[in-house]
Amino acid sequence: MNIFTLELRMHLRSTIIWTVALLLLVAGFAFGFPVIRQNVAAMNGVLQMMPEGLKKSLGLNVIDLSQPIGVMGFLFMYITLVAAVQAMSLGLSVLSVELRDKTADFLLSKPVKRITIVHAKLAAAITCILSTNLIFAIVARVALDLLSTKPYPLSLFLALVLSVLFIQLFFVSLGALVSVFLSRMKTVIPLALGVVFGFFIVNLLNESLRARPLTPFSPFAYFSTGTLFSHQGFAYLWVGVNFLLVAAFVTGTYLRYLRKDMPSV
Amino acid sequence: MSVIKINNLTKYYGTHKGIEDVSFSVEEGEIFGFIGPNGAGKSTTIRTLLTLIYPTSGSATIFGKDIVRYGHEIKREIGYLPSEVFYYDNMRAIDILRYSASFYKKDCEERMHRLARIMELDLEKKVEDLSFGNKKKVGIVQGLLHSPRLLILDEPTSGLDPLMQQKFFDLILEENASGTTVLFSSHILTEVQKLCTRVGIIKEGSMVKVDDIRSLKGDTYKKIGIALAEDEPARDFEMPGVSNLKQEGRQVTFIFRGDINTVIARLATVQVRNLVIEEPTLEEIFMHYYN
Repeated sequence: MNIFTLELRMHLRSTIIWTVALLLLVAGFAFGFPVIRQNVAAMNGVLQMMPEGLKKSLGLNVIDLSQPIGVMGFLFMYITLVAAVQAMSLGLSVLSVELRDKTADFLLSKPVKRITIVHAKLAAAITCILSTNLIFAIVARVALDLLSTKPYPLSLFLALVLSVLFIQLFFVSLGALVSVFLSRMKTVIPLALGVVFGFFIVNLLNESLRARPLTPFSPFAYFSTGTLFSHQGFAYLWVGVNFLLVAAFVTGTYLRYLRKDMPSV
Repeated sequence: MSVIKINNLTKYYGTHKGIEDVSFSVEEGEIFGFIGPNGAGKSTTIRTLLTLIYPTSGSATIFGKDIVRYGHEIKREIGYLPSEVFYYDNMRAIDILRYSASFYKKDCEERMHRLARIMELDLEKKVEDLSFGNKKKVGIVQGLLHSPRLLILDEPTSGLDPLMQQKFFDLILEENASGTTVLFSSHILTEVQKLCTRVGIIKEGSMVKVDDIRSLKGDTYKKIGIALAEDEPARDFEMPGVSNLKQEGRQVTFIFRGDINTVIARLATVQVRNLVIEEPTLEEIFMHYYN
């Protein structure tokens, strides 16, 4: 419990910053939507001139920009991107920070099992992510309800919001797995950005291809705006794949950390 | 009873040898000196005992329990002080110490303040604002606050000024007097000489000698210095038992181990102006093992 509490304290600041960043995106939506609504005709004109591939890449072929949920769905592509960077950098740092700051000797010479350390640290990371998601989901819901004149499908809203959480779980566990295989990371953010953008680009590419053949290779594709809107909810196959991968990453993280030699300072 | 028992412990980092077939034991209530130069394998041995790294082969027990299997249980009774200490920068010394104490199921508050007073440590300062020596003091308090039965000190005195070193040694001796066993690793022999009852010497990853400090220093070794009255080549003194033979002009010194009469018989054949026979320092014995 003491490790968990310390971890929460150490990640509190960055969690607040990332949550605020996500809320700014929601605020952008709340203030931007009325402008879009007034100019729907002009927007549609622009959309018609766009090449089909680009429209598909951006999910604009299935969403209706005259509805708040449509605009929010469009925005979710970027929300998940920001959220993924948060999760990846959190995952990368949560177990490696002790090596970077050379506090691993201190922690591991305490009477505590390594497995307990991993439990506590992952639990703290997931708590940070859940808090971010909870606050974000509430604010997004309020904004959507204020702007909507017609009812929208709740299943779609839930799918959008939960997809942020699921993508974050993917990246936090991937980050943890990568971190235990690297001997010492100097900085976390460049690697986090690189990995997340890599997966993001795979998704953009995938959406522009006819049969979406790259779907298995990016979590962004499991929860792409196009997929969520055309299903009016999740494509459950890919939710399952996402969770299988999360389970595999977490298992790998445990196995490696339990046997890892801590480099001397 | 052996508090630490190490059997053929071997650690390879990939193909690079850390330690090989290291065996020795540390008995209850003693201060065991673990000496060797930097890179000889002292820290590797200690880090393996604490399962910061895992052995390639061989085994070790502490308090009769296997280090790998029961590591977390054993560590309840161990206090560890590394040569360089690192803590969470944004915490105050007192936060670090309370965090450290939270891992042990006992109240360490009073002892923590007492130790901090002895070491003259300001507990309210942030770790990042502490000097190297002051961080070390946090390390000392942190290693002792839960009244461990075994203290593992890895080059503990670096960064401490002589006055603090003395206070630290007094603390160690006080702990030892109340029954704490100490494993003290160092490359500074005078401090080992001051504190330890037995020593183990490690060289290039292997143990070369484990001995009582008195028998190491005692009657088996003599340091002999001869001022010759006339020119005489030093090789005349090469005989079984002689090591570290050095000659500067007519001044000849060497370490001798064996029957002193053989030296006396040899000396009778030359003209001697002066003769000094003394106890060698541990350092000189140590060099003997390293040559």
